[in-house]
Amino acid sequence: MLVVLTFLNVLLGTRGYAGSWVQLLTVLLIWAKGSLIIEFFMHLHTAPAFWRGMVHGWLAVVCAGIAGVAVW
Amino acid sequence: MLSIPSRSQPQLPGDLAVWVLILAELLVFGVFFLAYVAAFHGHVALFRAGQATLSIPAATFNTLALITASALVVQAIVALQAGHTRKAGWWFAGAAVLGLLFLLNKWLELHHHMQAGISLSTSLFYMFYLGLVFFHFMHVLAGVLILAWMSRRCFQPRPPGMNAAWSAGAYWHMVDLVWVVLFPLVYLL
Amino acid sequence: MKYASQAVSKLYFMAAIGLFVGQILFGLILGLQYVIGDFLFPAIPFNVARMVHTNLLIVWLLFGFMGAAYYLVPEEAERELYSPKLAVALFWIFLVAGALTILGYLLVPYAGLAKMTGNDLLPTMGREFLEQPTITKIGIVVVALGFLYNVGMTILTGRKTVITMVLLTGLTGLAVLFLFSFYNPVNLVLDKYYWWWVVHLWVEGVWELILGSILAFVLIKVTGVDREVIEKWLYVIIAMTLITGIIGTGHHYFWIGTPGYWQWLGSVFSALEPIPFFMMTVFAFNMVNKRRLNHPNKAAVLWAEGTAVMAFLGAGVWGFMHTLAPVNYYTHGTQITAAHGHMAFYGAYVMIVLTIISYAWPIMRGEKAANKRAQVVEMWSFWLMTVSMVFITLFLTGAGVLQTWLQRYTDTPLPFMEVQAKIAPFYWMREVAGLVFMIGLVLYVYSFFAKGESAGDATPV
Repeated sequence: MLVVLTFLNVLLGTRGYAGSWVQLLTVLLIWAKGSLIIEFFMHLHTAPAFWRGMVHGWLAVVCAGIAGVAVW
Repeated sequence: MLSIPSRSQPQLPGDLAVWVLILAELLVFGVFFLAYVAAFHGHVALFRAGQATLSIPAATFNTLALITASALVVQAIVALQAGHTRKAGWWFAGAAVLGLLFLLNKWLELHHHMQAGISLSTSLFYMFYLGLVFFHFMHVLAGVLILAWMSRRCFQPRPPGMNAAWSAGAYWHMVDLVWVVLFPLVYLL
Repeated sequence: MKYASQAVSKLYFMAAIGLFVGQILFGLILGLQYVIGDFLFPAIPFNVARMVHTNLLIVWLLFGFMGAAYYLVPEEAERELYSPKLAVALFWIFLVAGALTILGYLLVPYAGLAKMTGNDLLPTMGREFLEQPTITKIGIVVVALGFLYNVGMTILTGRKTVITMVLLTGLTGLAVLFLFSFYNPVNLVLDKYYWWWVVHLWVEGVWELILGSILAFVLIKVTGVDREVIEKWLYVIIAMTLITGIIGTGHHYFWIGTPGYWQWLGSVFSALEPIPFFMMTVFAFNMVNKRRLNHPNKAAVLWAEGTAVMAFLGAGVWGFMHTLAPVNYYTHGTQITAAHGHMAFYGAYVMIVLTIISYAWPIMRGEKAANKRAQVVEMWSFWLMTVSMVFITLFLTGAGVLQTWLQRYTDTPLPFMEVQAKIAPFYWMREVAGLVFMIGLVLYVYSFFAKGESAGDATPV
């Protein structure tokens, strides 16, 4: 799954599509991949809500920051 | 005693102190990412020109290496939990080797840029690129050493405990997570 | 006391406290000179008073660190000190050299001192905090090497613990980085660049390792929490310190002729330097909450917790206030720096030395803890010194903000001296707070002699 998403990422990035929707899609992919890592690799789906929330929150803030600039 | 930790109760996979460290590290990278984004916004043309000089295939390979390594670490933990310590040792070793491949590849990439006379002072873009990539590089290096150490311990008479394994794994996944953001951000966007 | 040789630290602690008193005396003189410029002139001019105030601080903290090392290393390594005689000899060499240097500052004009001590041969003098004559610097290196040898041999031939390894790393770093004080290039930018390798990498790098290991040692002793737990925290705190602190040096490299990228690197990394201090606060309180025993030395526990809090406030919060390049553009070298410097040095380093003294001194006198009355006096001195330091910091911050506003962040900047006159009320209030600090310090010294009812033994929680 992560591998597929990575290739999608690369495809989007290299095809030279312009426009903010491509960038938004890229950010969405970052978020999807990050979430997968957090949930399944880091195994935080069984962790206390605080820790799960903190790491997910980090990802959300970073993604929002990137998306914000893409739209701006 | 009222509370006996059970499987159903939420539990942090690994050591509290390691998770505090992970959060702190994520914060460092997060601030760095947001600073990058802010600088990008101010100098779009400069950053685009800089990005054009980076090698996407190399970085894609590296992404796959890190993700696969993460998957192997998960396998190692599963094996360790089942009591197959030697098997876990091999999984850890495999992950460490993939990490080494990442380092080697990244080193070649950095070497290529150095040869071209690029340094931190070349431009704002390269400052960020080299700064971020080198900082992450050092983390992968630390991660590889940790994984190698875990692997070694798996082959010794007294195998590592689950707490250590989860902690080592969590650190490695953090390095992976950071790269998963870093790669599209710096190379693709 | 488990090992007889631990007693050498008594000498070091006594010297440290003595010099501490001297430092505060000169601090009071200096504070007054901010508002009465010719106070004690020409006997003790401002620049000399300042030099003595800062140099005494560094020297007494070094005495404190060495004393702490001589106390905790044998206990951790589970063997006597490699050479107690060497420790005593180095003590006297360091004390005499330090005293002669301070006397030199006070009695001879600085340029004359430079000539007398042969500064021409290897010029290293004349730089802030590194004003010591070259010969004194060489003396410091000799003492540091002898000290490292002594402590290193004890650690390496005994039980190795995380605490002693971190301590040894910190002390080695301290000695090695000091060597940069001998490098004095003609180029002013290069000079400043490496000057910070001593100054910054000391207080925001290796000294933090020393601080962390002393704090961890005291916490193990007074809380009875498992060593493994404390060591783990020490590891992550140290890792974070080095990750943020080393590149954080960049926050001194703004607009001094160094490459522009330092503005980014310095801002990002140093903005995160509060994290390890925050972790230290969480760590200290967590350990005290999880304590397995109630140690009779309540004062030492108070100092330990105070260190964690004040280090976070002084080094972390007050450092962050002016560490970002765009902010520092306006605040650089104003009283905000002085505010940060005061609380950070007090919170991180003064308090950790007082913590270990508070813990170790009664034990070296053959008691588990000082008597009840002495502890009450000591805790009073804790609050007097700490609260007055908070006020010193607040007043200096007020002075700094006003100074930045009138002199820098304005279209119609006022001249330096005019601004100084306007912020004089803050200086007066700072001086009053300084007097209260002195009272606290006197009480602290008195607490060593106070008599009273025994504090008893440790009880399980």
